[in-house]
Amino acid sequence: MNEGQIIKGCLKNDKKSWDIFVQKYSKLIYWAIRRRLALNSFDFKQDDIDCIFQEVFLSISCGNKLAQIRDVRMIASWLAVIASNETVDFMRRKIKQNKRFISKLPEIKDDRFKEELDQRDSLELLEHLINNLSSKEKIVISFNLIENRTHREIAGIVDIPINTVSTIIARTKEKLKKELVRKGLKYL
Amino acid sequence: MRKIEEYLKNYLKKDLSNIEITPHCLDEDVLLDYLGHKLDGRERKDIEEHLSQCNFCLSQLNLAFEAKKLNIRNLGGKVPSELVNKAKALLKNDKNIIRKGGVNRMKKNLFLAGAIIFFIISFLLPKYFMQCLVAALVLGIRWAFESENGRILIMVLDSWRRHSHDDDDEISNRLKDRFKSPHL
Repeated sequence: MNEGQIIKGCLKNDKKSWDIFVQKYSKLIYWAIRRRLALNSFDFKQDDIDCIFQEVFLSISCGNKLAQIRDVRMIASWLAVIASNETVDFMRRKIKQNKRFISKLPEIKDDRFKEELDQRDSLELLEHLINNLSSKEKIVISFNLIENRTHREIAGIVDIPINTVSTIIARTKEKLKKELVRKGLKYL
Repeated sequence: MRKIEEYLKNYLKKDLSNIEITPHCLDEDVLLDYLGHKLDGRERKDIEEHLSQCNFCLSQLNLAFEAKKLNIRNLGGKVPSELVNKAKALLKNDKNIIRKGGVNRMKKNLFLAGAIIFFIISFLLPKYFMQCLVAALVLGIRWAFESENGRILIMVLDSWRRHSHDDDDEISNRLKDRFKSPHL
């Protein structure tokens, strides 16, 4: 059975198709839930994952959710986003109930460097520099630094040549370095 | 250059843990259309405008990209078989819930139908007017107490009488749940 047939079967409430669907995509959904929880540094327990896992399949089995898939080839991505959305809903509910918190992200470890940045109002400089980037450039930099994507992968996502991606990244870093040096920062 | 990278990374990550979804945030269809390069220049530009300001949507796009690349069969980590079996049973349970819900609804509506019938009969048979009226009243009260709507109505009236804000919240949550629930 291919993806299209499985989805068609699920939409007709065919038990066999549903069983295959659950068996095939359980690992992916489990992975997406864990990934979203980790991305948001959410303090979670095994029970939380189990609960979200059930909610994801419940939301898919109820109504005509599977009929919303426009491209069957993208089903893995679609399920990952659905699982992520359910996880976000769960996190929001827990935060609202004041039962869980999102831990803060680690700060810059080099105290001397950080101190110098603070002293010289470099935050404003950085804000100015990033705000002056085009949307595409900012996405490229974010994918590279936050998500650790390779230049090839970024080119595939944003739909631009690899050379352009490399140029944007190198240019932005060089520009920031120059500006910071001009401000008098020594510990670069 | 490593410090520059670290500095930039920390700056860009500053609101990464934010999970507040705005009305402008992108739904799964739009994200996948962007990822699949199915949008025209203007649409792509609009989406990129949002992505450049929203770390949450950017991370959703990254997640969708990772999932696309994954080989599901080789994915690490084991899903407890109990969980998989529960998920498999959901389709069957769903049908049962709908069936049970339908029967219960019919049963509740029988009280309402009975009340209306007795009320009409009370006018048609003046000899048994009082008896029919009492029967209609009993069935009507039974319907009101059996029905979720009746209970909510009583709670609303009671809450207004007492002006309790806690009850207001509870009622509004119950009303929201009721409208969200696919089985009702």
